[in-house]
Amino acid sequence: MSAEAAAGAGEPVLDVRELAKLYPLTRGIVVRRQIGSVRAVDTVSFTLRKGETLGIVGESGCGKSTVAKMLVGLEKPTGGRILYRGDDITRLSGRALKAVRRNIQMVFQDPYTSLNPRMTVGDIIGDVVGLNPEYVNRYPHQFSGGQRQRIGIARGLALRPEIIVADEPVSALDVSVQAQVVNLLERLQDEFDLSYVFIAHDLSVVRHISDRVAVMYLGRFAETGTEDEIYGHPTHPYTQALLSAVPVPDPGARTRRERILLTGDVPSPADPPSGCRFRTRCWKARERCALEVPALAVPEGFEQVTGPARHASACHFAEERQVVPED
Amino acid sequence: MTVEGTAEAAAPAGSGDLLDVRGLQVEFRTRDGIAHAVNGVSYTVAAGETLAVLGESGSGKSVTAQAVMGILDTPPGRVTGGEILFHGRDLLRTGAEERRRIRGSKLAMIFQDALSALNPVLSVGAQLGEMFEVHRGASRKAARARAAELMDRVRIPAARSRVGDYPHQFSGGMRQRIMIAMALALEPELIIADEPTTALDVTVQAQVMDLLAELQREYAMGLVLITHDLGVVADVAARIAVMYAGRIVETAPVHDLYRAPAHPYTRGLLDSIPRLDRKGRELYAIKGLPPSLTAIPPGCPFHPRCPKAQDICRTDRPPLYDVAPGRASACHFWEETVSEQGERP
Repeated sequence: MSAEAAAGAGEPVLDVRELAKLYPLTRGIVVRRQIGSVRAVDTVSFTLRKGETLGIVGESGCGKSTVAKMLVGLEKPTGGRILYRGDDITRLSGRALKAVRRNIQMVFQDPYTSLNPRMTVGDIIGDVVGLNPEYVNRYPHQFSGGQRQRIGIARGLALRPEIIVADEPVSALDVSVQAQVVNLLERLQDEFDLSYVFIAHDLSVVRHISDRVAVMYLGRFAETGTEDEIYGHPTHPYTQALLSAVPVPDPGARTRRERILLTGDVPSPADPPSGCRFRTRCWKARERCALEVPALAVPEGFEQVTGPARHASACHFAEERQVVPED
Repeated sequence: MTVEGTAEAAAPAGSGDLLDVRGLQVEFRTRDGIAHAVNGVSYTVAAGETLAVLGESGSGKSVTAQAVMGILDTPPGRVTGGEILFHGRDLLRTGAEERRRIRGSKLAMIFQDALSALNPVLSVGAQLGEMFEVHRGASRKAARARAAELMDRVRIPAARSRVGDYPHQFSGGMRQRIMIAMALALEPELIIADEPTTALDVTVQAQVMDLLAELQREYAMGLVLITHDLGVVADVAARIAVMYAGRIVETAPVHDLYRAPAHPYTRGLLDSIPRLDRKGRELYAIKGLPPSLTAIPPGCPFHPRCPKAQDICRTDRPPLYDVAPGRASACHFWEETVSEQGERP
């Protein structure tokens, strides 16, 4: 399988271990007391290899953007470590930090707010992304959304980084322009042997671009695996519900598809459920789910399984269920 | 155009269509000149039918809806031509007061962003109840009771205890339900939903779309679903109209359109979306950008981006050719396009 081959080929460039981010909740103006905390990211671990794309999917508020910000140093983790080629970058500061940072760059969702409106594009970037050279003296507002995203990508690449962290890079773009930017990201990855952490809520785009995928829910990874393992053979109920809810551009799938409708809303990260965080919305939840936090590992009963259903899934009652219609 | 429509031909204009938009033209005065946002759009919706209007930003899909609802910002906007027949009566030639009455009780609209469409300083119960007070002359108390019923109807948990809550106290999905409740309050005959689920998470999106489809069936309303999402359209619509640069470029029953698109733009859109159910290689990308509405290219507006463009496309604007009953395409080469199957080279 090509995805696994690609994943196995490169050496690890980023090793994230038990990364956590807690925001304190305080009350009082004169005497500030901490009354609790929002667990935005509650221990997330993964390895990113050279030339590989790791997709992180999840709904709003799951903590995926906070992970992105910690990776590029825009937020300081409250726990865990981020190892870049073996060095813990969460402990670095000053010049040493700066030297590492240039190797990990970020591409944002809305390039309009992340580009300096008073600098010309020539000041911001060099030229690798297929922008007409005549444009170097223009300002960001003189470009369309797709062009601005190219500029955002070009800026991310300007320092020749090894890792690009892209947070919803194509969500704000129209369908026809989105394809141009996705293709550009893939071409640049081949050309410069880049590693991507690609964060998005659009499960179709993530499948398209990723070698490996992590599904995130309320600050934790619910399930991780290769693109085929997650989309073709999901074993976590949340992944199954998420995938079954994505509309597919095929009217014939209306009758062929079984849709898992979740009830209720995502609980507040200030007061997450005990045990498994998904249990309040899960149709399989039993007593054990409230008492024991399920580990992100190959689940019980899957140790002997060979094939793509055997992958890490944080569920006590994991079961394979196909929810994406076969094309 | 629709079968159901002609079967019950009772309306004065001789068609049974609830809504019949004919040759609508809308322009905006801007600093860069006149933006031609809608350039002769025609579509019909029958009772109980779902028409999806698909297009990218700037295609004119929302402006058309605003003109139908009579909520276009004028100025800078201006309807320069066409008719909007509702039950055979032209809304563009209806007085302001009468139009407001129709808009409240017969036509309703659901917007993308519920938070900015709802009044932040009024409780949702008061906003829902107001509909009954103003349009039905209900007492405040009776209106509140109806509001709670409606919230229950759109499956807001513990509706009765939440009538006094304010919009910000609800989640995004719940706010969208409240907007649907507001649109439904007076049991309108037609609902226009402009990107109703775009801002919602997928699991919530599915809940809201299901609710909308169920209520539409129950009340036998006409529904115009405006969206950019080819997945949502495939899930709920019966017919689809694809818009580009202020024109409808293709209209078709939904199954036909996905199986064999008759316009290169539709084909391009279908090929350019990443699919959940397949691990693709490179995506097809439609080259270039949509035209500026102040300078729409002559001939076919899609020709600068079209892989099929010939000389005729640069000079002659294609009319909507009939492809099959209920199907039309504004492409000189629709026959070739529709017969092309399989992967793009």
